[in-house]
This record gives sequence, C-alpha cells and structure tokens, in this order.
Amino acid sequence: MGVYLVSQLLNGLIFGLIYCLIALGLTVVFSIMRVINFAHGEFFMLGGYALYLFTVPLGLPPIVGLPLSMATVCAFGVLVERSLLRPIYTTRMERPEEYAIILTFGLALFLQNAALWSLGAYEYTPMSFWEGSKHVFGDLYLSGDRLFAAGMAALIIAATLLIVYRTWLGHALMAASQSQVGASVVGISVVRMNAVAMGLAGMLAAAAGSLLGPIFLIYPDVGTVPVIKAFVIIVLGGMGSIPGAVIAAILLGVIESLGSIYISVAYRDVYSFLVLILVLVVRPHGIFGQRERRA
Amino acid sequence: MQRITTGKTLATMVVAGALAFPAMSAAQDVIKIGGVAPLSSPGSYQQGRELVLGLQWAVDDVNAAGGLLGKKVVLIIEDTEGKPPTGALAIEKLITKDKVVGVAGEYHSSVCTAEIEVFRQHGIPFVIGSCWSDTLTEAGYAEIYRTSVYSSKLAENMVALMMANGIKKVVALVEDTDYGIGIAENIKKSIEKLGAKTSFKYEVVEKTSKDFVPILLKYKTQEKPDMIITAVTQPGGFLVLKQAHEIRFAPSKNTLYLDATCTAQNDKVFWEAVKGAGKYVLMSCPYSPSVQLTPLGEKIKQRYVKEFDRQPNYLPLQGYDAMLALITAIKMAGSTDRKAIVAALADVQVAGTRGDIKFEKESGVWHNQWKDVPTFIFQYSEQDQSAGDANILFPPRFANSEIIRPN
Amino acid sequence: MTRFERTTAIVALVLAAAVPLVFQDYFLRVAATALYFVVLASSWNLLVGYTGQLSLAHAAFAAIGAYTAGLLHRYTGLNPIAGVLAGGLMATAVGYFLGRICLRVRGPYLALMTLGFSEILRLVLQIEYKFTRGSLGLQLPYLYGADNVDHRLGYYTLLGLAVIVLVVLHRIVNSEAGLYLKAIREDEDAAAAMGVDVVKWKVNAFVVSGLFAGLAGGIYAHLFVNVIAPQMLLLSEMGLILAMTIVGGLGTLTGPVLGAVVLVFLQEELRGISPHAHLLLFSILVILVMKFYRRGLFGLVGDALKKRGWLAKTPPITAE
Repeated sequence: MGVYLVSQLLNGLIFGLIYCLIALGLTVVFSIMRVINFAHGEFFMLGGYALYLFTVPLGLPPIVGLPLSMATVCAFGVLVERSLLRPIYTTRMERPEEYAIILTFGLALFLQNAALWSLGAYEYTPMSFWEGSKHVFGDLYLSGDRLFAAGMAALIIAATLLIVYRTWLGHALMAASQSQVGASVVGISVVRMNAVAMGLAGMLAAAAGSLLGPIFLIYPDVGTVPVIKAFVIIVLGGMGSIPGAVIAAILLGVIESLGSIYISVAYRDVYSFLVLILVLVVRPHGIFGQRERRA
Repeated sequence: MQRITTGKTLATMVVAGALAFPAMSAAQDVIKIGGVAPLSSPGSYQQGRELVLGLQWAVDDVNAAGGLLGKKVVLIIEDTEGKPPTGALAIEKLITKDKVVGVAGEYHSSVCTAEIEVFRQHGIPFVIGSCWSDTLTEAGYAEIYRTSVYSSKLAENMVALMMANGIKKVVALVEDTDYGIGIAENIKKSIEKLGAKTSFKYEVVEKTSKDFVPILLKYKTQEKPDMIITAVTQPGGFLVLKQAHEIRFAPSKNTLYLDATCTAQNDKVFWEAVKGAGKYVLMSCPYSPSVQLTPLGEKIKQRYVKEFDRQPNYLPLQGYDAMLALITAIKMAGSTDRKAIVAALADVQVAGTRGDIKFEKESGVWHNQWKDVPTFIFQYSEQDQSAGDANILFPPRFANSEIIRPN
Repeated sequence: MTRFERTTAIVALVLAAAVPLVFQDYFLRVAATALYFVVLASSWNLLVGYTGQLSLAHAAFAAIGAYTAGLLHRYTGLNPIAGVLAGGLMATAVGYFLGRICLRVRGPYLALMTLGFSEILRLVLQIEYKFTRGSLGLQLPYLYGADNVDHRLGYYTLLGLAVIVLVVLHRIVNSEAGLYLKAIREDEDAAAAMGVDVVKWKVNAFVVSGLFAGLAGGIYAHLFVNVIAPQMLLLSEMGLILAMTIVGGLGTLTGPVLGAVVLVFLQEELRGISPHAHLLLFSILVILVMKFYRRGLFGLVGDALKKRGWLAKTPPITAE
C-alpha cells in the first residue's frame, strides 16, 4: 500500500503544479482587473497548438518551442486586453462585470470553435520534452514528459514569484491590484498593468498547455477541464492571492489523488466542483483572499 | 399617432420565415440511401472515416455497374458525433427530410441503440455497419440487420485464448457505453459458459477521460493481472496504452495487453500515437489483411492499398458488407418500398468481402445477424508493423504463432 | 402596449400557429426547436437581463426537467405528462436551492458557482450510468403515448408553453416586481437600502426561470428528442442559450424571442456546412454585440421603432 499511496500522491502533485501554473495567470488577472477570464482555458489550448506548430512542422526542439509558444500567447493575451477588455476601464460602462463575463465566455466559445474549424477535431501530438518512461523509485515508473512538466512548472512558478515579489514590475502589479486609484496616483499606468497581467496570464497558461501537450495531446477543447480546476484553485486560495493559488493548487492535487484512492476514481473531477461550491458558500474569499470591499 | 402599416410588419415577419423555406428537392430519378458514422469528436472520427469509405465504395460499385433498379444511387452521409441524441436526430433527418429508403453504417453501440428505435418507428431498414453490442439484435426488431461482428462472439474467442494459454487473472478497463459495458459482461458470461478457470474484474471509465494513470497504478501494484483487456475507443484507448506502457505495467513480461476494440489495427494512426508502446499488443478483430477471405474482399483490399499505400483495417470491409447487403435487398425487392426491403433482407445471400453473407432467423443475438462473420486475434511483434504482418493467434486454423512476451 | 406592439404580437402568433399547416415533418421540428429556445432564452433573460444574476446553470434546469421525467418513467412507469410536471417541480425546487446558496455571491463568483453546479450535475449523470444510463442515453417515451406520435400536436404544445411563458414574463416585468428586479440588477445595495426585499426577489427570479426551463426541457425532450444524454449539460449548450439571448437583446422581452428564432434557423442553414459551424458564428456574434451594440438585434430595430412612437417608451432604466 505504501508504494501505491506514494505513487498516487506523486501523480497528484505533478498535476497540482501544472494546475498552479494555469491558476496563477488567472489570479493575477483577477487581482488587477477584477475580471475572471472565462477564455483562460483557451490560452492553455493555444499554448498546446503553438508548441505543436513550433516542434512538428517547424521542427524546432521542444525546449525552444516552449518559450516561443509562451511568447506567442503572451502577445495574444495583450491583444485581447487591448481590443476587448480595455473599454471596461476607459469608458463609463453599465454593468461592467456582466460585460466581462459574457465577453470572455463568448471569446472562449469562439476560440474553441475557430480551432475546430481551422485545425479539425484531430488530436495533434507535439514532440516530447523527455521521451520514454523514467524510473522514479522502487517499482514506480512515470513518463519522462510528466516529470519534465512538473519540474519545469515548478521553475516557471518560482520565476514568476520572483518577478512579482522582487522586481519593480512585480511591485507595480501588486500596487495596481491593491488599489487602481492609488497606483495611478504614484505614476503607475493602470492600463499598462492590465496589459501586463493579461500577457503574463497568457504566458503561464501557454506554458501549461505546452507542457501537457505531449502527454494528453492537443485538440480544440483541451482547455475546458484544466481551466475549471484553475477556477477552483483561485476560489479556494482566494481570488487575487498568489500564495493562495500555489497552496490551493497543491492541495487540490492531493485531494484529487486521495479521493481517487479512498472514495472512487470516477468521481475525481466532481471533487473539484464540490470544493468550489463549498468554498463559495462557506468562505467566498477563500483561504488567503481579501474580503471583497464594496465601496 | 402615425398610421401603422401592417403591411410592412407582415413583410418583416415573412422574411424571417423565408429563411427556413425548404429547398426544392432534387430530381426524382435517384435512389437515396443514408450512411451514418462518427465523423467528429467525441465520436471516434478516425474509425468513422474508414467506415464511410466502405459505404461509399459499395455505392460507387453499384453505380458503376449500371445503378440500382435502373437508377443512380446517392449516398447521404450524416455525422452522428458519437452521441446517442445526435444519432437519433440524424436518422430522423435522413428519413423525414432526405427521404432515404434505407440506411447502413454507424460505429458506436450506444448511438446504434438510440438509432434503432427511430428505424423501428418509421419502418425503415438499417444494416448495422460496426456496432458490436449484442443487445442491438437481441432486441428483435424486424428492421434491424447486422453484418458486423458482435460482442459475445469476440468475448468467446478471447476466453478461448485465455484458456489455451493458462491466463488466470484478467482485468478490464471499459468505456461507459453499451459496447464497453457489453463486452465486459460478455467476457464474464463466456468465462462461466466455457468453464474457464480465470478470475475477471472490470472497471468502467468515462470515454473522454485523459489520465488513466491512477487506475493503471492500482492494477499494477494491487491487482497484478496476467492480462489487461481494454475496451475504450479512440482516442482514449491509445492514451490508456501509452500510459500503461509508461508506468511499465503492460504490455510487459507479466501482463499482456489486449485491445478489444481493434482500433490498434488502424496501423498508421496507431503507431503515430503510441510509438513503442504498441509492440506486443494483442487485438481482437473482425478481419485480417493477411488472410484472403473472398475475391471481393481481396479486390477491396487492393483498392485501399493502391489509394492509401497501406493495408486497410476491418472497417472499410465491414462498411462495404453492410451497404452491399442493403443494396442487394433493394435489388431483390425490386422496389423502394420500405416493407419490401425489410422482408427482402431476410432472404439476402450474397458474397461479401469476408464471406457469404446471410442472416439468421433465430431470436436472441443471432436475430437478423450474420452468424458466421469471421473474427481473429492478432499480436504485433514489431514496432511500426503493418496490420497485415501481425502474428495471427486465433482462430487455430489461421494461427501462425504463439503469444510472445517482452523479456 | 402600443397598438403596433399589440398588432405585431397577434400577427406573430397567427403566423406561428400557421406553421404546421405549411411546413411538414423536418422543418416543423426545426420550428419547434425554435419555440423551445424561445422559452429557454426568455427565462434565462429574466434571471440575467432583468435581475442581473448571471447564471450559467440554465441548461442544467432543462436537463433536470427532462431527466426527472425520464427516470421516473423508467423506474416507476409514470405517465410522461405527469413526469414532465414533476420535472418542472424538481427544477423549481432546485432553482430555490440554487437561489438561496447563491445569495451571498455576485458577478463572476455567481457565474462560477452556477457553472460548478451545472458541471457537477453533468458529471454525476454521466458517472452514475447504472442508474441514469449516462452516455448510453436514456430513452424517453413520447409525451402523449407511443401510439400518438404527432409532430403537429407537439409543435402546438410548445407554442402553448411559449405563449404562457411570455405572457407571465410580460406581467412580471411590467409590474412592481419587475421594478424590484431591475433595481437589483442596477445596484443591489442601493435597492436593499431602498427597502427592496433583495433575498426574496433574487430567489424568486431563480425559481421562476428554473421552473420554465425545467418544463421546457421536459416537454421538448418528450416530444422531439428520443434519447437524452448528459451531453445536454455541456457548456456549449449553455452557450447557445446565452448567444440567443445576447444577440437578440438582453433585458428586453422581445430580444430573446427574436434571438432564438433567428439563431435556430441560422443553425439549420449552417448544418450543411458542418455540424459545428453555427457555434463559431454565434460566438463571433456575441463578441460583436457585446463590444459594439450591447442591446442586440432588438436594440437595433427597437430604437428605430421607438423614435416613430410605435414602441412603448420604457423608463430610463434599460439594458444599455
């Protein structure tokens, strides 16, 4: 039972790290723009397709394809902010929350169907990052891609945390998330921070999509399940809280694996939703989130 | 108050209605036949495409030979997406909008289950292309015929193989559909019926799941079976194999891997997706490109090889046989009257691509079923091997090898 | 209502009633589907357009109606008509439950909560296939008995439902209750400060919209859909309802009706290209409408008509 438990937990941890990557971008966008981007899963999907594009038809090594795909979707995120979401802040709009939800929902649907239309329902297999099955310990073997994905995700998360807490840009982002007015008073361009946030979100989601691409293959609605997990994580951890997202992600990975062992493997996805609803009912601001100030 | 011109308002309303005005139907001197298959997700569209090839070729051949009852045959294909409600709707459309005289095809058993109700309601004949669930013919509907292989027959063969090779412990991972659950139940029944000394357990997974590692880890560390059978159609099926291989569970020295869906026979797609994991995989299939069964079958195989530069899997042939049976019945009936065709199907005897097709009249799974449809069990011995070169393990009269295992 | 409005409504009703006499089998089914979505879009609009509660659980209510009736028939042999009514009741109860647990959450949190609820329902229906038949599909009996299959009768049933729903919604929206709902939409806290029983009206909105969706889901499924599966709870199904309401015009009574009819027929026209082409078009329309003309199709048409005095000028609080 020992090896079994550990191997399930390890698998759960791997996924926890990847989900964390997706959730981080979502939580940064929420903290700064107060918008939940329902199209975030599609950034994930685009990251996967981008990796395929760079490694198969263009034949670049996957380790080069990863930053390229991150850069591509970063640009796309900025484009979305500029063209679709900017009016929320620069114009006097009625019911901006409704606008954001419906627009991003519509965007998600559009991106999924555009991919379906132009690339087909087929599953694309990008090149592996680390081909083959690797010995972990004892009788446990896991695929190289899974291990690479977990390791790289941890690195990227660490780098992001470093940027947020140690650089000027990171401090500007945090300032904008605490108070848009206050930030602009001290000379931070809030509009630019919004663009940075979306770009960062795109980058992180794309990284997750690229890392998982060789494992689960790429197809148009590959982003819908991961993004739901990301929603759960940011609610659990507290919307807008970065440490919350990291901790909640690991927690979710663990809950899912333990649930699989002790209750039922089939219900794995249901646990996340139950957690979501439970948290929203009992403690909507999650573990680390701020109580919403409704001024 | 301005005068309200109701004329203008009426005009606007009519415009909206005009959007839906039915297109004029085409010329009347054709016979329309319907074909259904999954051509998009979540259906197994890669298999669906192969099936449609067979349906289309049968229609092309009859047109090339002068048509049916002197008229050209038009094949109308509907994508059933692997979803039962979509399948039922597609049949309604084919029957009520396109006015087809009969339909052949379909690949997913659950979709077939929904579809047969619609055929029965309208009295239109349906020859099943490749839905394997026993229940489809067991239902005993007069309109439903099947030239495809069926689950209980495949299950019996698998159990015979187990008995012949001393396989004692088997687990199965099946999809949550009529086919998946059906084949697991059939294996269980066959073990009892044939008195095999094999323990058998199965688990049902959602067809669209992606991560099977938790279940596979459980099997590897807790169950330790001699064989794992998977009945999960594409694309999930390939992921199961990849992941089973990655954790060094199966195919391995201790555990054999049997693909009960025969999707492994679609060799190009298979090897691209699974790479090294596919070596030593066993598959239970309704056809072998390496076994010459009939002249017609050989002709279709050559046509496929010429067009695609590789050997076909069973689907184009199973599709061809289904459509051939339907077309032959229409010819025998001498008319497009639905009742006449349904009755004529009962007496069809025609040389198909895999044998002589004829339907039984018994009740139970053999009702309107081609009882002697051939079945095989193969095993890949090399990576990137073509389906035709795989070792034949069963039936004994074609077998050319024992089971091989990695060391 | 102005004379123009009354005339248009009557003309529309007459035309709708005439449909089965002109169109046969397949197109009758399409028209019936349009009526089904008219009810779904209009009831969603009550919750979202008038009360400002952006729920993503609407397809779930339709599914609750259909599945309750279907399962009752499967396990107790209950007559489908009684089953559908039971389905409506179940949807009402769930609407009440959802309304109450969603009281504390707003905006994106509410959307997430309802999304979570819809997904849980879908997954459970799928996983518990031994009970619900899951992806295998649950066979449904014809609403009026297997020997009385008559698509014209089915169409009129749906037409009747649509008319009732629209009349009730019209009554609600133009009454004091309507003002409360709109006040909640515009500013919940201000409304509460002014004495509006926010809790009661938010829950009521969930209950009423859930009831209509559940009834529509049950009735439509037992008339025109032979088999139901958990795929009817996929987010893309919710996306259809959303698209029809938004493109038609959120926050107006005619908007969803217009949106439903136009989009259902568009979907049919596009079917020849591919089974998914309509979703691509609809999603583009939603983005365009939200960005450039938030009041939708009816907003476009309505403005012109209002200027001519043909349409009643509504009070300043409108969907902008």
